[in-house]
Amino acid sequence: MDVGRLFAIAIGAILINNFVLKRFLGLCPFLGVSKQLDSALGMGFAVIFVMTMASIVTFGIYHYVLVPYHIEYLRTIAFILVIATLVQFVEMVIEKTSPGLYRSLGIYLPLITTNCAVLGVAVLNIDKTYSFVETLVHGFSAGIGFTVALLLMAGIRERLELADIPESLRGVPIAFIVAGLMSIAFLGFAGLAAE
Amino acid sequence: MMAKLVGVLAAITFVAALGLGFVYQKTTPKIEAQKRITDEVAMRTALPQAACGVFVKHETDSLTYYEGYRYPDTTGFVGYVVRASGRGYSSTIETMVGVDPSGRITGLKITHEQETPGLGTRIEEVRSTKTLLDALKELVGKGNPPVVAVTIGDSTESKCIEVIIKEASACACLDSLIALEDTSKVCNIVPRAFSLATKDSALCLSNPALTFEVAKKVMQKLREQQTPWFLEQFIGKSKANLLVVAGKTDRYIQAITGATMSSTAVTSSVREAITKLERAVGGFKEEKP
Amino acid sequence: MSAAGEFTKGFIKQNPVFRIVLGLCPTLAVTTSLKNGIGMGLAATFVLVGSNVIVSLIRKAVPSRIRIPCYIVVIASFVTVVDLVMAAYTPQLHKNLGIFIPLIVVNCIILGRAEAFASKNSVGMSFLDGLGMGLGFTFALAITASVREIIGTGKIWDLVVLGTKYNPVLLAVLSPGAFITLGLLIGLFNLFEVRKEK
Repeated sequence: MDVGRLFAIAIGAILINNFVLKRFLGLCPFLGVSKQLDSALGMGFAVIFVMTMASIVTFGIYHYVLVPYHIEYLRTIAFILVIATLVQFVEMVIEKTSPGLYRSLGIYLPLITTNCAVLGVAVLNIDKTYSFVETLVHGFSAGIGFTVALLLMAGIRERLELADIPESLRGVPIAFIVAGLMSIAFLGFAGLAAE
Repeated sequence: MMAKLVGVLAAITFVAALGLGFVYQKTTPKIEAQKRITDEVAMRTALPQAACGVFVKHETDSLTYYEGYRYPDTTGFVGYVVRASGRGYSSTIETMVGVDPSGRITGLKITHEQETPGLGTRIEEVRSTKTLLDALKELVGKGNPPVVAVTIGDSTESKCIEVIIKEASACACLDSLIALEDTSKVCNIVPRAFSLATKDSALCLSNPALTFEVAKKVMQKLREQQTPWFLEQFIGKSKANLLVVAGKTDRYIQAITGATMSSTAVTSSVREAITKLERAVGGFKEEKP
Repeated sequence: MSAAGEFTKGFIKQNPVFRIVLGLCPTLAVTTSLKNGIGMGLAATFVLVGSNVIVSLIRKAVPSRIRIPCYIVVIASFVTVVDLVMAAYTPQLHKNLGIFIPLIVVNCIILGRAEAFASKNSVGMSFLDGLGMGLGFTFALAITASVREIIGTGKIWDLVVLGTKYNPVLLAVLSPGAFITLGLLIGLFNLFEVRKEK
């Protein structure tokens, strides 16, 4: 196992091709849940968990069901159903086993089904022909990358509340411009490692 | 209750899967044809001397390369085509490179890259000076008349043959195709001329129209395309001159400003591929001074 | 609302991108050039119209508890059709839009219209709603893409607009440019709305 390659994949997913700031995936929760640090943290953990699980399950579905029967074209439909079921299942399990965790994560889980970052990571794993371990690392670090961007954004937005902003730019527009400035900062990471 | 829920969902999924299966069957041959067009165009761009000829695949332990011939009956050897790939700024850049028997580059075509838009992607940029104003003038019919394109009629078989003949004569060397009269002969010549494998000959017989389509599109794309200015610099150079430098030069390759890594990736991967090819074919022929 | 109203509301008044702020991922990702923006917009429009019609057709047969998975299956089927058809007929565009074609499935606009409109209205109205919203989405993509392409490359649709001496502001076609352009455009739309209300 080439540890260097795994490290490159992780750095790539967290910093260079950050899912939110570079690949533009998962923008709806990025804007919706970044108003407060607490909820951003909760959402971040939920996404890391679901992305890792989704990467594992979709890897299995693709390589052991779709490929052997030559029905790769059903990929989109199979993945989205698997992700929706997975999210539902995770929600049920957490509710039964750990009410504390459910209280903090529960409300974010249903939102994740329509988070395109989750389907995005599953599709990218296949497109890049990753092995199982690489898929696992990629899924996990993509979630970390999402959380990093979300937390940074939440920190900035909490302060933006107090800033004097033109009326028409308040809310979403200024959030976009902030994200653009963050994205400029992240451009500096490009070239750290090739994928 | 539960049974009904599952039943409805299963029914919808089943109908959806059936529908998709149908669409898949309809589009697969087209998608495969597109892939073949891309490969054919890349190979024929890399080695334009064999644009109307045939390519023969060679596989050694370390390298796969193609030998290009001027004529469809594998006479008139003109050079080799080999794939090169190198790590650029944000992606792996894949290239098809053509080399003549003395080791000089005849042409190259990027087959895959996902570099930075506006910077690295300029390796594929064709210098265009046409302005919006020009285009609008052409639209109202007051500018210089645009180049007349060959119009393609309906896609019945006879039309297809006609088009192929037209395209072939435009390419000015597929003699055998020009002499063509009936469909069966097309199936003998087209797959060979377009280096389609034996499997494709069967495809041709079962679906001649599709094979014509492939051949026709390859020809059309070849005529339409212009060489990007960055890649144009490679033509005529040998391995020794493949160095990236800043500033204008005749001797070496001028890097794209702001995209040195992409420029270097193309150049060094091409150099590497040619070195491997030289080893595989047992050295290039010495050039006569 | 009248049929014409259902059709035109998507352009300005309820523009999915500028007013409702949905479907942002493709709006930012594929708008590096006008060609890509329009291609993506039309692909999404097709899916939107198709899924709206089917969802409206089956709205009475589907129990409400499983409606979301059913809608997702319908949408995913249309997306796969678009994916295959584009791969077959417009391979270059298919390559440029890349991963964002399968991701039309999770474009919130489409599920949003299925849930909020098609599941409650007749087939004809749903068709018009889908078409209007889809074209409104395409319109938003086209505007964003034009701004980015002109500033970032000095060209539009590969045709020179700002003269050959223009030194392009590359940032506009890079990822930060996407965020900033869209932020300012939404701000501009808000400005008009604020003026109108006064």
